[in-house]
Amino acid sequence: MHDQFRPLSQDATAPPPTTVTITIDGQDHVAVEGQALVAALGEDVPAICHVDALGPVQTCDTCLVEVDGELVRSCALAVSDGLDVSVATPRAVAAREEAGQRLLGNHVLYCTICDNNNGDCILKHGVEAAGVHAQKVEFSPKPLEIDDSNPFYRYDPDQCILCGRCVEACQTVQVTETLSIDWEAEHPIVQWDGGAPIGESSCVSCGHCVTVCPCNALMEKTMLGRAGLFTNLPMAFREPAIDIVKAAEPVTGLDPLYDLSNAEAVARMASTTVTKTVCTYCGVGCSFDVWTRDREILKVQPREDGPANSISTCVKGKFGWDFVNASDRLTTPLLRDGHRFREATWDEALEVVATRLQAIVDEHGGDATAVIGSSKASNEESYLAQKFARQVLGTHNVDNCSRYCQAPATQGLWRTVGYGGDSGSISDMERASLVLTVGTNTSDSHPVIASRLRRAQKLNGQTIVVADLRRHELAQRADVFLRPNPGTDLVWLSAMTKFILDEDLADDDFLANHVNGLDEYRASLDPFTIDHAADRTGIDADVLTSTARMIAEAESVCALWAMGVTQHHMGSDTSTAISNLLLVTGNYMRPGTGAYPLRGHNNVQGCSDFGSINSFYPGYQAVDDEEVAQTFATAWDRDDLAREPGLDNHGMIESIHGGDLRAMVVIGEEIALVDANAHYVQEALAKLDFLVVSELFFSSTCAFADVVLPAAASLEKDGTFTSTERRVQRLYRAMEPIGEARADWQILTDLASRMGREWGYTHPSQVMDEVADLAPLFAGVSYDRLEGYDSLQWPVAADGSDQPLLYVDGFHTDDGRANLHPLEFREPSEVADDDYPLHANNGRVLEHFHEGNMTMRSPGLVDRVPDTYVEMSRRTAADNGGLQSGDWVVLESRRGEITLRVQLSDQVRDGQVYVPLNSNEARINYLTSNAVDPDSQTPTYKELAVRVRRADTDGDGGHANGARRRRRRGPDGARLGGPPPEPAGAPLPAGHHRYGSPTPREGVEVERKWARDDYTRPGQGD
Amino acid sequence: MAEPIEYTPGPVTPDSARDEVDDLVSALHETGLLRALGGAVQAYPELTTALVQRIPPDTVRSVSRLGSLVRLPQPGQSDAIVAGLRSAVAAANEALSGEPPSWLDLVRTVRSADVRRGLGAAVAALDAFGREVGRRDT
Repeated sequence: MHDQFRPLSQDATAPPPTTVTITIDGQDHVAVEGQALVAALGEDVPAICHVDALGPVQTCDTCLVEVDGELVRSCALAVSDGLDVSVATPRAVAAREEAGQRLLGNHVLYCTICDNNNGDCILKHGVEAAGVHAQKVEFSPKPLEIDDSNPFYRYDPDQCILCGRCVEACQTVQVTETLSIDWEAEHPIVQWDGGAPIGESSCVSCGHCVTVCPCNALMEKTMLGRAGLFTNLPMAFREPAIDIVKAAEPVTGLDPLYDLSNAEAVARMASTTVTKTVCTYCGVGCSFDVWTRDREILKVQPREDGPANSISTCVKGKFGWDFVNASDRLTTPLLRDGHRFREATWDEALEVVATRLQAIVDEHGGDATAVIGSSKASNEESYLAQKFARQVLGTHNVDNCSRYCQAPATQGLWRTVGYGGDSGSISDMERASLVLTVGTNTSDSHPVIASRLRRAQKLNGQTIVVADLRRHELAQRADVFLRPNPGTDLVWLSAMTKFILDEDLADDDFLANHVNGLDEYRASLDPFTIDHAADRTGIDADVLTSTARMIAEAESVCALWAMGVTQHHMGSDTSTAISNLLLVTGNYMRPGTGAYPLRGHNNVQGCSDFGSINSFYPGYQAVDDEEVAQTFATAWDRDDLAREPGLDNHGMIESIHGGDLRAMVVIGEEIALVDANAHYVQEALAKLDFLVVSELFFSSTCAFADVVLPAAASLEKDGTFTSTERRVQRLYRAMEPIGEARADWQILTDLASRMGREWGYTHPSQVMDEVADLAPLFAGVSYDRLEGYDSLQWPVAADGSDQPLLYVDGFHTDDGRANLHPLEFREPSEVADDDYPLHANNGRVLEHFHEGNMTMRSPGLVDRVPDTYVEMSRRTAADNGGLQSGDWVVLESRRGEITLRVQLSDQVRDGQVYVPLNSNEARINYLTSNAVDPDSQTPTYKELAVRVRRADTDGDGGHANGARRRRRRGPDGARLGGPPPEPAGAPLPAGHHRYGSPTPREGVEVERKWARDDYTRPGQGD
Repeated sequence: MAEPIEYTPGPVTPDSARDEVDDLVSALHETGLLRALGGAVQAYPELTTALVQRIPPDTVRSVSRLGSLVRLPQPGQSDAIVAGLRSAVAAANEALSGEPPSWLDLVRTVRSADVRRGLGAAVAALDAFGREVGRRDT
């Protein structure tokens, strides 16, 4: 690892800080060795361009101090023992003031009517601290207009102080490499792609630049005119007011303005609420402050102490919160009444649910019912969902959507190393010398992790090996890009492992000390020769061997994978093959190593962890373990629960068709569209005697319900989520639930009460306390230990100690040793053939989450990607009737068909197509099949053969089999997102970031500023 | 057999009186007045502290000179206005700290020459201000 490189995400492996003594103006002070000196100097020395996460930017010069008689930038000097610093010398004071004056030459101070005057304006505090009491450098406007072309933020060049924080963040943290400063120009400004409008550049709207901007040059549009008491003044008043104040400034100085704006900042913040929350989209676990005023969401502001993400976000986490206040939120319970739904009171709705469920249990037994928990809901709600199923209904028929995604990864890890979770932290991914990604479109699906990988590659020389069908963003940046034939990952993984063993490249010591089953496993690898692998996968044999050597010789390797592996007939086995490869090369039990199935939802890890799974009580305690069963029987006063697992999601659908399962409680799960073969699932839902759905919106699943309950969104409740790195974090209620909506933990508590179980919870913390008592995995978890931005990575011992690196002394097996698991290859359940000649891949895009229930309600996100499409190469398009981008086509499988538009692309291979999941109507799961991975029951979403034909404009609207066309409309009939009724042209707008032209730089490149003829360092003339 | 049923969340039941109140509140909200008033009320202690105690005499003199730049008749007059404002804030503070006056007391107070002088000045200022803004608007 390079000396200067350090992970940005919380790094438990980092050496503990050591303190040293430095002298500041003759006084001894204790400081942390190695940290930037400016951090030890207190508020008297400003550091306007400095953000710890960015490292020294050195553009603003406001942190100048004297060391050994020389003026130095204290942001760029590391603390060392005995350092003697002079801060208050006339020369240093004058230099800092001069630097502050120069900044005001680029910025108009109109703080009281500025949306960034929220008590935390870095620039204002900085120039005050620099001693600027009256402006001496005349403001010089830049000859450029405000850039308003991005839907989420705007750039005002006239307010930009050219500190370069935004550039540094884009170039070295996000590493999209869009922003730069043209330092050699007469009027340097921040540029996107070297001068393109923001909305037509490679900018992915991650928000890093806006987050770190120290003033109002880059602002969230949700803040503009809303943040302050006087910031929405009409221009006719605003500009004259600024002119008057500016005219007075030479006489009055800046101090009255500072005082006035400080008072106004206090006043505006009195009506603004800042609440810590955790993102509700993917499983990275980003935490941040959300600024609200009543229900209005002003902005999302990540902080450096966010353990997973620090200052990072993606476009959804930073800007995609419109769904919380969407006009079609469910606000009252609904009851099926003949052929319509009618509104009902909570009392009536809950009574119906309790009565109907109890009647079915009484008549058919508890196993005639089932509960599906939500990976969007909290850990506490997952615990209560399974408690409701087990204690109240008397069944283990409880599951969650990990069945659709990561259950195979969990299976692969259980087989080999013991725990079904990431074996380290995001910081380990950053620290690794080589990262292997398999079947994960990380840049779109786990954007902040992708940014960490790009950063590690750029700053630390990390090698990135990507295996995927598509040449997506991370594949384009990879050092090695493997493009296997669909469904053959197990072949090349096993062939590489065999090659490593045969060539004596394995970690023999690690195998001898920590691993069982080498001989049997090695024998199972016999068929996987390099030649066979090259033939079956289509990957060149030399590439296979060179990549195998690269992995074997790397100092530390992390393997990341996702749905491209798991949603296959061999999902569990391929996950196992990845873990086998890591074991053979000794890549466990050390920082920078390990297996990382990237969890897709914010709490899909926690939903299983806390018991919404058919085979385990909370904390992965098997239902067939007699001692465990007795513990829960005592705790829950119910001793008749089965010692065999209940039905999983897949089994539930089959059981409905078989007539055994009669009632379901579905919590926040769009099962009608996200389970495979949606027609088959919807037919099952229609057969239920009773269905109750708890949801934010009237989903397709709700349409089959007898009772619909309005649920609270994550911003409307307290709780905890567990992210992909097993990190448990608290979220706090930022606003009251909309209408009559209630948090799921309250709904379940009320239901249990009506069915004879008085749980008595009044706050989720009480639920967590109960879990800590019953599940050793969470013995030391409590809300006190999770206060604010504190977090814990399970397992958590009773004393509160956690395990960021999961395996330290051994593995979670009976003997503490890992187990190599022998494997065989099986062909995919469905492959392209003469009738259906195209392989159809499917997944997410950056701007949308899953099927789009939340993100398709965000006008900004819909502006970037209006709807789904079928992406194909030009050759595939030519072979299918000369299709062009924008043409409407019908995509047809053996189960059904959907109608959507063509998007031509070089990311998809000839003979393959890609369909994003987000859509208003064209749902991919009308095409997928009932086939599953036999080891995990996960559907084979990625094994899909299709054919394509040009759509007839009159006859091919919507999907086949008479399925309903659903449109999103609000109460007034207004569209709530999605494309116009008859969209034309390419599905992706011309300004989409994939068509941008990034401008890679080392960072802000301040040396180019220093080289300008008009630059002298402040204080240099003295 | 549960056939799928479509449902669109319905609009709020019309209530004309409540609608008018909602419109008023909405207008106050959209213009920012509601927020300004709310913020001022919630931050009243901080605001009064900043205005009455934290602003140093130099700053007051600066504001006074600022007044001269916006063409108040005489610098001396603008000093008087600033002094008057400080007295007004102090009096407001005192008034707010005690029991609220009765309506009769309020009427008696309005008859005071000092109050009428202050009201006259405020109305005149508003008149001039509105005229100026209106001119710039057109």
